[in-house]
Amino acid sequence: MKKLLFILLFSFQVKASPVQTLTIMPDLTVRLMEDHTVPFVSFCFVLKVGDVYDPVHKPLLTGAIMELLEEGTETKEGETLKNILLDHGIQINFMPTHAFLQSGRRHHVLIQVRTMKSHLPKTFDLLKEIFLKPRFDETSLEKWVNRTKALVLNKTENPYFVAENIMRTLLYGATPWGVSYLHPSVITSLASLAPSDLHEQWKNFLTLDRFSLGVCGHITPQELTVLLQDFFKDIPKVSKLNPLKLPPFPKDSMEKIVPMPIPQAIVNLIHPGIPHTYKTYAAYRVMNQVLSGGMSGRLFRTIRDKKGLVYGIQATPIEKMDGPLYLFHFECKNENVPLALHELKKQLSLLKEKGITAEELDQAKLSLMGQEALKYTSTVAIAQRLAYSLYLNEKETFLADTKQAIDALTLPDINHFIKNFIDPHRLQTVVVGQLTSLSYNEDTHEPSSKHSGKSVQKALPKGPGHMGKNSQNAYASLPADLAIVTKTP
Amino acid sequence: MPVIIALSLWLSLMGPLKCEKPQQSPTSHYFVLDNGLKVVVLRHHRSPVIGHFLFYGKGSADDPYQKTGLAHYVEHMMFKGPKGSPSRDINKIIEGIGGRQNAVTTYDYTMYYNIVPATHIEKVMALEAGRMKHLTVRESDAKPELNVIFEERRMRFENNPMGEFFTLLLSHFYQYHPYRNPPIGWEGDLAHLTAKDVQTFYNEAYTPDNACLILVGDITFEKAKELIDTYYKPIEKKSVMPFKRCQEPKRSKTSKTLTLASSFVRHPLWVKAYPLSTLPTNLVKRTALLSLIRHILTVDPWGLLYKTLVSDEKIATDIGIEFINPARDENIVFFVAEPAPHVNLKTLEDKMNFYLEKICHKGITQEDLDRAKHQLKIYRAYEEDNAMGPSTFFGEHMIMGASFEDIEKRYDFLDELTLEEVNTTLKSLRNETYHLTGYLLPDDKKNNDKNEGRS
Repeated sequence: MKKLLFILLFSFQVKASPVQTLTIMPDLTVRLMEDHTVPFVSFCFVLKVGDVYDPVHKPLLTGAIMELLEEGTETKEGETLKNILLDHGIQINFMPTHAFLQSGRRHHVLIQVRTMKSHLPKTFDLLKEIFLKPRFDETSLEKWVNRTKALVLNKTENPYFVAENIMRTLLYGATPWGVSYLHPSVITSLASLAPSDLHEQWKNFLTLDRFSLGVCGHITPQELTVLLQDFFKDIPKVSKLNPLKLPPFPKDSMEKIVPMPIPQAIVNLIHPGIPHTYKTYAAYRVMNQVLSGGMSGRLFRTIRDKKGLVYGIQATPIEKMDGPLYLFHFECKNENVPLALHELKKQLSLLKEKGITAEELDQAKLSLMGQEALKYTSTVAIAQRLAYSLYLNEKETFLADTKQAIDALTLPDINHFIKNFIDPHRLQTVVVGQLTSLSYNEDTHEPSSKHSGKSVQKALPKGPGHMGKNSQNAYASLPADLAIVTKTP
Repeated sequence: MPVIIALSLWLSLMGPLKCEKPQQSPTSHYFVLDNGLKVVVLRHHRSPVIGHFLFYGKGSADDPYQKTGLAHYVEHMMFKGPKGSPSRDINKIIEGIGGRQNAVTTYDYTMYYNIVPATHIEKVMALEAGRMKHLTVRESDAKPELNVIFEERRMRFENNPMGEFFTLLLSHFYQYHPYRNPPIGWEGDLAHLTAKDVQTFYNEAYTPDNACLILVGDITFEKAKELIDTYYKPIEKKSVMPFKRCQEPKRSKTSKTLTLASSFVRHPLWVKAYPLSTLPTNLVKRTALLSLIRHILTVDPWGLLYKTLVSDEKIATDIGIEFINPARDENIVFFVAEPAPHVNLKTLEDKMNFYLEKICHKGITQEDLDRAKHQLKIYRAYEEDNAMGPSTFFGEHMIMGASFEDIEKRYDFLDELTLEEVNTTLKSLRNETYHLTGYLLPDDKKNNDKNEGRS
């Protein structure tokens, strides 16, 4: 069904074609935006799989699968396959392991494909072979293990990575979402991965109910339907994997300081977020725009521009990772952390108390609409947005819906939302650096020497490899703590 | 699979090059204003978006003596100023319309970019022309901003062993040339920079005859010309600060080494840097040549070094080549290798040196060259996918003196490169008597102490 979305949508005229939702087979729909001004087509597959499904003793199994998919098929060695792709200009990007480690994309993965129209049949023949008959051999697995060992080793000393892992255990504790990759046992577990593990898990992953696909480029709906019907016909419909339940967000605020002798501390704070399906999602986006809209948001202007405390400071709604979260991030020299945190919390209190102004609301609306236009600058970006619209169960009218929801917001609406949404007592804080307290004394303008609660020195968390093999809930034995823990009242 | 079978398979699969033309390709225009501003307009009508990329031909290598970091400080101060000034308002206005904007300072140039919905391009041009014309640097803005730069420095170098390692490598590679100084500046110099320094540098470097504007996206040539005439044409040219860069003395036969041991490194890295003294004078041809060399040596799976050291001998987990390119002065090549976990750095180094010597001595084959050209050219069509397309390529080459015509012909240069030209460059490395080897190592003592403390 075609809907002329764009033409009516924005004050600026978008030249692209309408979004089309095609039913390829009873259990599969895809979204397409035709663009016949280019000689190629971009595809984005979002798969609802990820390392939250990795078995307890096999961390990074999903990472191995994603990287080794391009290392050959049953009939083609990795080198042969890569040469065919290079010689035909076929780009297939399986998200590599380091992206898993950094971005925390833990329950979905991306596969991006771009190919010249003339190579479409060849591309899909190869993709079919890659998906249905992956090679996953000993040699390429060994190569991957070596590379990943080096990567993980270095990452364990990277303060950003440490902060991310500690935050994960803080939020989700002894669950698949809370697994930390900091422990040396991750390295030993990597060596125990076998090709059969990859084959078995990929079989679990490769089912129609886990696919969301967006397409943009030089292809008609008819051509796409024929191509995809053939491509998906041998893929099972439903996954045997049990759905995992995301643990609830912690009720109380927690602060953790992880000692690391670095000149600049890394600070992450997490507040519960809002799912995109909530009616208040538009208000949430507007609030974030006012607070952290690039270099003109309140946080940037006050904490960086006026105070000179940080180089960058961002607040980011995280929708697609580990449930809806609202992340605040900055880095600054150790001695300034208490003051910068104090200023950040002051801004949050100010926002909660007084809300935003009418001028800020108007500007945020205009800005958010402008940002939409900038998302459609390549076939790759468009295909990705279309795939995510399906992954997030958005309607075909997602663009118009977004605009309407933002347009309809009034100042009382948004300020009512902000008042109820911001809850400083639920903030989870992780700081990696050289400091012992996060408290700031407003009277003396000095970091306070007193802790705001009890503090405990803890050992490194045990990695997944340390957990009892026969335990029914092996994750339950995973200690979640590291370093100084302060529970705020 | 034996190499020979893989190769014959490859030969059977490689048909004639199909470089399909898009139905509507971006078109480009070039002109120079009377005040010296070079302008390139690249039309791309898929998205209602325009990118405004403004390059100034001065970078950190133009920082005055003992004032390293000044060009970058100026870049920061270009977002400051009194209320109502374009420099102060630019963040708010551009982001207020949903645009993206930022700036970057390199050794040889400073670039400011704004990507906005097409209907708002006039606002961008008014603001950028405004801050090209005038910048008021105030002490009250300059001081806190210096603290921000110190934070940026901590983030990029002091907290990041890789950043620190490459900074030290360059500072050891050069004795005098300012490429030895990091664009963000040395800590001791930064602390003494003043608002007056910023104002002086701005006055001498930010002039239309030292700038190049790349306008790319959904705009007609006529509309672009009209806006440029309105906003940029009236700006008067100033006398541009001349280049006063120290050049390196003639180098004697030297091989230097640099070791950085860091407790934040668990897995080592090996780097070898050479000057590239035998390169074509044409900047665009130079870039084409270096891209080819990088592809032929390191592409996965068939790059000559990659295949031997990563796939066949499993000595390294990854191999890379980095260049300082394009460069106003000397280009450098860095060979970078990460050893496999069971391999010590000495073994990796010996193997890298052995195969580099072998490749540089024997040269590559016509087959390697044709294959690399074919693979690089086939991606040409994809360059047109992104609405912002080749804007950076145009800007950074033009600001360093490349002609518009040469940049337009960049794929022809790639096509025309001969086996002899590629092999001459490789052989020049073999004859190069000056090089620097760097080792980024784990600080085992500190790591052991740390592990004991944690266990």
